[in-house]
Amino acid sequence: MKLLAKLLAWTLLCSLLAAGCASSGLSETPSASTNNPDSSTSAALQSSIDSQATIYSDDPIKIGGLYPLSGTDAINGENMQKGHDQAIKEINAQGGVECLGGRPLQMVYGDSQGTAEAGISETERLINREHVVVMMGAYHSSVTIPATVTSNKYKIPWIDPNALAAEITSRDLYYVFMTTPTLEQWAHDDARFAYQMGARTAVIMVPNFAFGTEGAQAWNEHLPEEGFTILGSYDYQFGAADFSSAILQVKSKDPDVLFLLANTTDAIHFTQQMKSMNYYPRMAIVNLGGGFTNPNYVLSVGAADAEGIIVTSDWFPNENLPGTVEFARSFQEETGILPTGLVNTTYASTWLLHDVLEKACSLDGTVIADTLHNTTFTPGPDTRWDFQWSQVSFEANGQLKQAQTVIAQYQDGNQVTVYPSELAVEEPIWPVPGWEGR
Amino acid sequence: MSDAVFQVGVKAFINLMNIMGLETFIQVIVNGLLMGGIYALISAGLTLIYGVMYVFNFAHGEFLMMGMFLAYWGYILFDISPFLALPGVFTLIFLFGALIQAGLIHPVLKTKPLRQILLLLGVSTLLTGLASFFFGTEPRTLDFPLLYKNLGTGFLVLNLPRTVAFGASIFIALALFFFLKYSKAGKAIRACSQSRDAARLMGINVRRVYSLTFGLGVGITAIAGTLLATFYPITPTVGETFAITAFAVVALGTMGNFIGALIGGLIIGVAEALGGFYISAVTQGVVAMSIFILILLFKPEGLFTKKNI
Repeated sequence: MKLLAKLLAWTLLCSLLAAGCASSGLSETPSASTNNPDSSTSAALQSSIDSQATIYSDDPIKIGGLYPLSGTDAINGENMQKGHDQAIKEINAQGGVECLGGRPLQMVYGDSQGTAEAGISETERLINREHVVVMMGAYHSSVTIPATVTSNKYKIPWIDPNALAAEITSRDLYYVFMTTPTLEQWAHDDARFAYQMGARTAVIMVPNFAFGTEGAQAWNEHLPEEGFTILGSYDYQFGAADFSSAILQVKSKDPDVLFLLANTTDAIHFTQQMKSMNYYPRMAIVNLGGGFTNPNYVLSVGAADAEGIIVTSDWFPNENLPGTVEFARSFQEETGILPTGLVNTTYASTWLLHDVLEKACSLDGTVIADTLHNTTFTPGPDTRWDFQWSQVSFEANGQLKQAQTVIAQYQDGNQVTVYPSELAVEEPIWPVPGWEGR
Repeated sequence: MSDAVFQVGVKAFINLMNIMGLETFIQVIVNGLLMGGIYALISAGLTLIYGVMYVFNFAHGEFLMMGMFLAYWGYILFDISPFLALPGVFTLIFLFGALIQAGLIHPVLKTKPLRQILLLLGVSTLLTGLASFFFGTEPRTLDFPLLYKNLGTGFLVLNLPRTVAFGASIFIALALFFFLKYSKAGKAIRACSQSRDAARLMGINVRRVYSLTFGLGVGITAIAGTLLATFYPITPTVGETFAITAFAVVALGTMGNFIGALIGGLIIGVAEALGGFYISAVTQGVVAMSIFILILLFKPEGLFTKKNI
C-alpha cells in the first residue's frame, strides 16, 4: 500500500510538472512583481536609457499585454492574445519595424486575474523588469483604469483596444489611448436603435461587477433620453448556479426589450434557462460587448437559440466595408476563432502600433505618445487595420476619433450587421419571435 | 369563531398572494425546490465523508467538475446519454476517489486537520489546473435533446433535467439510508463512524472502509455532476460555484447527516429563489453564506442534533 501511495504521489507530481512546463511554453508565465523602484522618475529614466541603448539591437521590441489569463474571464483574455499574436506574426513575417533596423515585435503577457491589484503589480513587472515600450489591454475597465495610472507615471504609452469605460480617457492622461468606442457611446446608440424599431419599455439586467454597473449606468442614462420607460433595473450574481429568479423578475415586468449584460458562461446559461422557462421579451434582447459576441456563445447554444439576439460592438465580420470579409476569413483560418468581440480591435490596434513605431522611429515613450497625439494615419499598401478604420487619429484625451458603434443581430448563427444603415447588410428581424414561434 | 378567524386568515393570505402574484410565487418556490434538490445531491457526498472520516473534503467541487467532464466527453465522443453514463461515471470516480484516499489522505488522517485541509486544497487546485490545461477554460455545453423538455403545463414549468436531478437526490438519500442501515459494508461504515478504534478491535479493516466511504462520497458527487451537465455550462472552475453552497448546506443540515443535507439543500434553494426574486438576484450568493455564518454562530451543530450515519 505504501508503494501504491508513493507511486500515486509521484505520478501526480510528474503530471503537475509536465502541465507547468507545457503551459509556460505557451505563454510568458506571469509572476509577482518585486522590482519596485524607489522613485518613478528614476525608473522612467532608466527605462528610457535602456530603450535608447538597445534601439538598434537585434532583440525583439517588447510590447506588454495585460489580460485576465486565469479566472472566469480567462477565455476572453486568451481570445485577445490570439488577436495580438496573429498581428505580431504577420508584422514580423513582413520584416518587423523597418525604421528600427527591421527589429521584430514580441508580446510579453501579464495575468491581471481580473483584479486591479494583480493588474497593477503585473504592469509594474512588465515595465520595470521586462522593459516593454508600450502596454496594451486590459479587457476589464476596472483593471485598465488603475493600471494606466501606473504606466502613465512611467511615461509608457498604453493603447487600450478592449476595455470600454469612458473614464479611461476622460482623465486626460497623456500616455493613455483608447481605440474602442466608450460604453456610453454604445448604450446611447443601442437606445436609439431599439426606439427606432418601435420599442418603448425596457428592463435592464446586469451582473454585479464593475462592467455590469457601468453598463447599467449608461443604459439608465441614455434609455430615458431616447424616450424609453424603464420598468426595472436589476443586478444578478455573476456565475450564479441559477438564474430563474432573475428571469422571473424580468418576466413579471413584461418589457418590450431586455437590455442584458453577461460574460460568456452566464450568457449561455441565461439563454438556456430562459428557453427552459419558455420566456422571451416582447420584442428583443439587446446587449453590448460581453459574452454574447464571444464565438463560443453561438457554438454552445446553437444557431436556433441565438437567433435574434442583438449584439453591440465596434465591428462585425460581415459589415459593408472593403476587406472585412477577407480579413475575417483569413483570421479564422489562422487562429480557429472569428475575430469578433473586440478581438478585431485588438488585432487592428497591434497593426496600428506597428505603423506608429515606423512613424515615431523611436522606442522612447514620450516620442511614441507624441506621434499618437499628432498624427493622422492613413492606410498604405502594407496597412492591415483598414478593414475597421478608414483612417486613424486621436482626440486630445486619447480617444480614437473613428471608433464607432456597430449593431448586429444573430441570424442563422452569424452576427449580421443591421445598424448603422451605411454598414448594414441585412434588415433586422423585429420583433424577435419567442421560443415557440421558431 | 375560530372558523371565522380562519376564513379571514385564508382570505388575507390569498389577497397577499394575489398582490405578490400567486403564479409567480409558486413558480419561484418550485424553482427553489428544484435547485435545492441539486444542492442536496451535491452535498450528500460531502456530508457522508465528513460523518465517517471527519475529513472536510475541500476538493469536493472538483469531483463534481470531473463528473461533468466525464458526462460531456462520454456524450461527445461515444454518444452515450448522460443518464446512461451514470453507472460508468460513478464507478470511475469511485475508483479514483478510493485511490486518492488510500494514497494521499490516509497518510495525513491522524495528523492535524490543517494538513488535511491544505492537502485537499492542493488536490483541488491540481485538478482545476489539469482540467484547464487539457480542456481549456471556455464553457462547454452538452447539446442535450431533453434540455428544454418541460413537465407540467400552464403557468407551472418543471424543467425535465432539473426534475430528474431532484428525483435522483431523494432516491440517493434513501438508497444511502438503506445501504448504511442494512448492508454489511454499510454497517462497517457506521461502526467506523462511531468509533474508529473500537471498529478496528472488532476486526473491521478501517482503511478499506475509509476508501469505500471516500469513493462513495465522491462517486455520488460525480453523479450530481453528470446530471448537472445536462443543463449547466461546464468549465474547469465550475466546482467553486457549487462547493461553497454545499458547505453551507452541510453545516445547516448538521455535518454528517445526509437526510439533514437533503432538507438543508431544499431550504437554501428556496431561500435563494425567494431572496433572488423579492429582494435582488444579487442576493443569491449572499443568502447561502448568511445562513452558513448564522448557523456557525448560533447553532454550530446544525438543525439536527445527531448525525445520521
